[in-house]
Amino acid sequence: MSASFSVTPRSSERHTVVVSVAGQLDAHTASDLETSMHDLIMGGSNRLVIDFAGLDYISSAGLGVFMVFIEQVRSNGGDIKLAAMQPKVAMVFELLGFQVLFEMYAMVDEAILAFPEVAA
Amino acid sequence: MSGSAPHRVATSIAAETSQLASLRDFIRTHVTGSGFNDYEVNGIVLAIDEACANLILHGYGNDRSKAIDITLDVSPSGIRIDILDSATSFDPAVAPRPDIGRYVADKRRGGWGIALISRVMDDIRYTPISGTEPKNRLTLIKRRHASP
Repeated sequence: MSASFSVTPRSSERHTVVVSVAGQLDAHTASDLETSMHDLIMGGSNRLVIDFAGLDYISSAGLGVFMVFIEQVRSNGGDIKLAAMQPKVAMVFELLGFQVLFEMYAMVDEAILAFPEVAA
Repeated sequence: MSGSAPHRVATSIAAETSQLASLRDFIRTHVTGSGFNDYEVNGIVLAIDEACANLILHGYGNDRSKAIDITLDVSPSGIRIDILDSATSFDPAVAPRPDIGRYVADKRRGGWGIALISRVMDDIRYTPISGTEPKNRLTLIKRRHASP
């Protein structure tokens, strides 16, 4: 049995893209997320909110995907903000001290509103 | 068999990442109810997943013809996990400590597994086994802490 995993991006307020991840993110499925993130960023999206509500498991391979892109996104004036993690997923970020690198929010809407409004 | 009474269970997986999910299910089934709290169970599952993912990707190159043998020994003092393989020898004690700032600058996606294992387990031991197959044993220990 392989881990089930899905990535679903949708456009939202403040020119953000909310990327919903669900299932299990491990050494087998991390490449699916990396491909999706690569495509979004190459397509010009640099205000990303990752919605973890449906994610049951993450290992270091999953965390590594965000490490690959964070510098590039920030250098483009954007950010990757993390939201709605279950405690067992947040635990893995905290064990490595990643909360100093990423902004983490309880709710997706909070993460969206943490991006500044774009001038018309 | 489950619970904190002494018992041993063992499994073997092919060395490919698609096997990790079912391995995690196996570990969780046998560790849950053995006297560890949810946080500790999640840590034990994570540590074994990280150790086996490292072996699969860096030791065996995702070669499903190779195998990894995992044994869990539950005892009143805690749990001991032995992971046996025949990949290139690697002692986690000599792995460099990851540096967040440098890894971000280098866009590095890997290198965190051993750090995670060391944070959730009480002891990590690597033992080369000479003259036999499998030839490496990684032992992870998690002690049972007395309830307050």
